[in-house]
Formats: sequence, C-alpha cells, structure tokens
Amino acid sequence: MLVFRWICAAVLSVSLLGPRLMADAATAHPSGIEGIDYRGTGCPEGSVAANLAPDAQTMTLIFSAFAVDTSTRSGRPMRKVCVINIAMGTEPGWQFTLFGVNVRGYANIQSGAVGVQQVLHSFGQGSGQAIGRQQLIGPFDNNFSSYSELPLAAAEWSPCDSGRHRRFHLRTSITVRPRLGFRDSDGEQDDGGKGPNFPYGYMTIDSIDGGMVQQYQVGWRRCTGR
Amino acid sequence: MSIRRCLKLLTVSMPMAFASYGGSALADVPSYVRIVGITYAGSGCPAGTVGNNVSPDFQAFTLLFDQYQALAGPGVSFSQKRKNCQVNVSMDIPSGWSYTLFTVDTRGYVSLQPGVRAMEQSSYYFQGQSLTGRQQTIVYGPTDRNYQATDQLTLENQVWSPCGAVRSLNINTEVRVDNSAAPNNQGMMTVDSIDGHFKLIYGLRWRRCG
Repeated sequence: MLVFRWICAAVLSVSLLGPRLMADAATAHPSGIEGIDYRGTGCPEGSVAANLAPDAQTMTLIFSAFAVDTSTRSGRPMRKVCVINIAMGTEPGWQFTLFGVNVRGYANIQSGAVGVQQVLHSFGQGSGQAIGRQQLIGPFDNNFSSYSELPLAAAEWSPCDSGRHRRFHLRTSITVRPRLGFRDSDGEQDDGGKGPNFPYGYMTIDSIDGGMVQQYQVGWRRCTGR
Repeated sequence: MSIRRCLKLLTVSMPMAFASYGGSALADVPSYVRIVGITYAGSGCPAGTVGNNVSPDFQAFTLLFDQYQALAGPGVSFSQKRKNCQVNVSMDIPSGWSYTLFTVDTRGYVSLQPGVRAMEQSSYYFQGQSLTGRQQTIVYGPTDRNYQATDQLTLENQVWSPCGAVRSLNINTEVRVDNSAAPNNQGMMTVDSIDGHFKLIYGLRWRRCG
C-alpha cells in the first residue's frame, strides 16, 4: 500500500516558510486538503512526485509511469488507472462546495485507434461517477488537457451538521484501443483485439492538479442557519 | 484568490516592501524570494536520475538529467518517441508579489536521418490553474549536432502566479522524435551530448500585484 502523507509535507513547507504563512493558512481558509494517498497501475510506488500548496487549497501530482503503449502488444487494448484518495478537513460551520481537477498529458494515436482519458469520483466504495471524459481519435499527435469540476455541496458527503473530516476518491484512467468497427488491411471488421496488427497508440498522463475552485470564493462556504 | 484579498495584502505589504528596498528602489525584485523546493517526475526523469542545484541567491536553478532522450526508428516502440520531465518548483515570495518564468535554456544533442523530425517543447503553468504557456523548437533531419533552445517568454504566453496565494510553478519539458514521414530512418533527440547530462537553466521574473 502506497501512502503519501501530505500533513508532513505541509508542516515541512510551513516550517520552511515561517510563521507568516502559517498564520495565513490558519485564518484565510476554513477548509483544505489534509492528506492524500494513491494507488493503481498508473501510479506505482516511487513513480509520483507530489506537491501541496502551503495553504492546502491546491495540489499537484506528477507521474513517471502513467502511460500505455500498445505498439509493444500488436495494438491490443491497454489501460492504466490511478486512484487518488483525498482527505479534506474543514472548520465547524463550513462546508466544501467545488473541487476542480486539471489533467494534462500527451497522446500519439495512429489512424484507426482511439485514446480515452476519464476521471471518475466516488465518496465511498464502488466505481464512481464520471466527471470528465476525453476521447482522442487517431491520427493524433499532441498534448491534451482537460478540466472538470466536482460539486461537493450538492452531495451528502459535505453536510453541515456532522464531522469535519471527509474523504473522496478520484479515479483517473487512460485507455488505448482500436476504434470500434475498425477494419484492418484485408477489410475485415475486427473490434475485439483478435487480429495481429492493429493500429498503435501511446498515451500518457503527465500531471493532475486538484483543488478548491477559488475564482468566486466558492471552494467552501459558511453553512446557513448557524 | 479574490481581488479584495489581493488588495488587502497590497495595502499591508507594500510599505514594507518599499522600506526594505532602501537605496535600491528601482530594482524590480521583492525584498526576498526563495526557491524552497524542487520535485520532478516524468518518463525522461524517473526517480534518481536528476541532479539539481539552486543558485546562491535562490532565484535560479539548474537540473542535470542522466537518461532523458527520445528515439525513433524501425521497431522502436511508441513510448521511446516521446519523453518528458515535469518539474515542480516551490517558491517563498512576499505577499503582494507575483512571479513568472523568464527564460529557459535547454541544451542537448540531436541526430536525425533525412525525413525525420524532432521537437523540444516546454509548457508552464501554476499549480491548480488551467492556463498553460508553451514554447517549442523544431529540428529537421538530416542533422547531427548539439543544440541549445532558449525560450524567452513574451507577454502573450507569460503565465503569472496568482496574487495573494503561494502556488508552485510547473515546468513540463518534453522531446519528441517523429519518423512517420520516413519510417525506415532513425533519429534521436537527447540532451546528453558529451558529458551525459541534460542541462536546464531557469530564471524567474517578478511583478507587483495590483
């Protein structure tokens, strides 16, 4: 099990930055990211660099091995996943409202193949609900990025009247496969990965940024009736 | 971060900032700036393959890569054709200042047979933001030489850190080699010509909030 303790990193950052920032962090934001861990085929131990802002509002994860390459398997489909578990903390009388996720990567997809990048969230067990999906149809050779938002206030997850610690999961995946209905050189339809020479694709996620959406100060809000 | 909060920070910090300048009020640098941490990951810089050095004034840093190279040729897998390294730089800056990247010098080696193309690209963004600045250098084969790509960010692609919040700077560098126009030919782009190191020198640029 791979665990990265943000709290230690945050404490370290704050101690480097001095008491001024510590005071800022304590007074400016009633809620923030308290801890994070991750696991999955896309984020094995030692392959991720992580950074949390001193005010605990935003995080960056950078990946070394979150990539699929179907050229090494005759074009047969390939998929990788990283599940990020995020622990949130908030002051009494506040609730979370909106969490934004930026995914950045690169894809090199041959004609006839497709790359799919997806972000799902869940508050407990289970596969979760999609908040972002991007399909790259070959030929494609470029960087890609996506932004999606997770509304937290609407969920039972962020109630006004219970404990102050909450946890949710972001499940990010990349898949490269032949396009459905793809016909190979002899004109035969083959969309199940049975043929020997499908078009190839390479897809990678370079980084994921996540945090409270701050433009309108709606990352968290004061509970009414208190 | 809201305008209101930024203004509040300005009100509080600007007199202090001016005071700390003393006789050098014209210098467009805040009273203190420090690089406090560097982390990195990417297909071109797995853990343990990067050396880094921060300058004595904490405003510039150098990274040395051991195995950062992209290859293309017959039988070469797709994952070899593009390598990247994303660097996350944590800064300590006074309230009321914002910063952006100024120049990036990327040095390396490129060897391409006819019809093969290579590219070096740097993308910049601040932690948690969608806005991304980008610069690239393209090289066409045949060629066999060292190269230096200097990215001088212009006003159009400058990405500034948000006012009133400390956000780290992300620099995603990548090299790609493309032989799709000449599938039987080979190419490599590396930043490891003679001494086996890929070298990046970064400089940071500042402005006041407001």
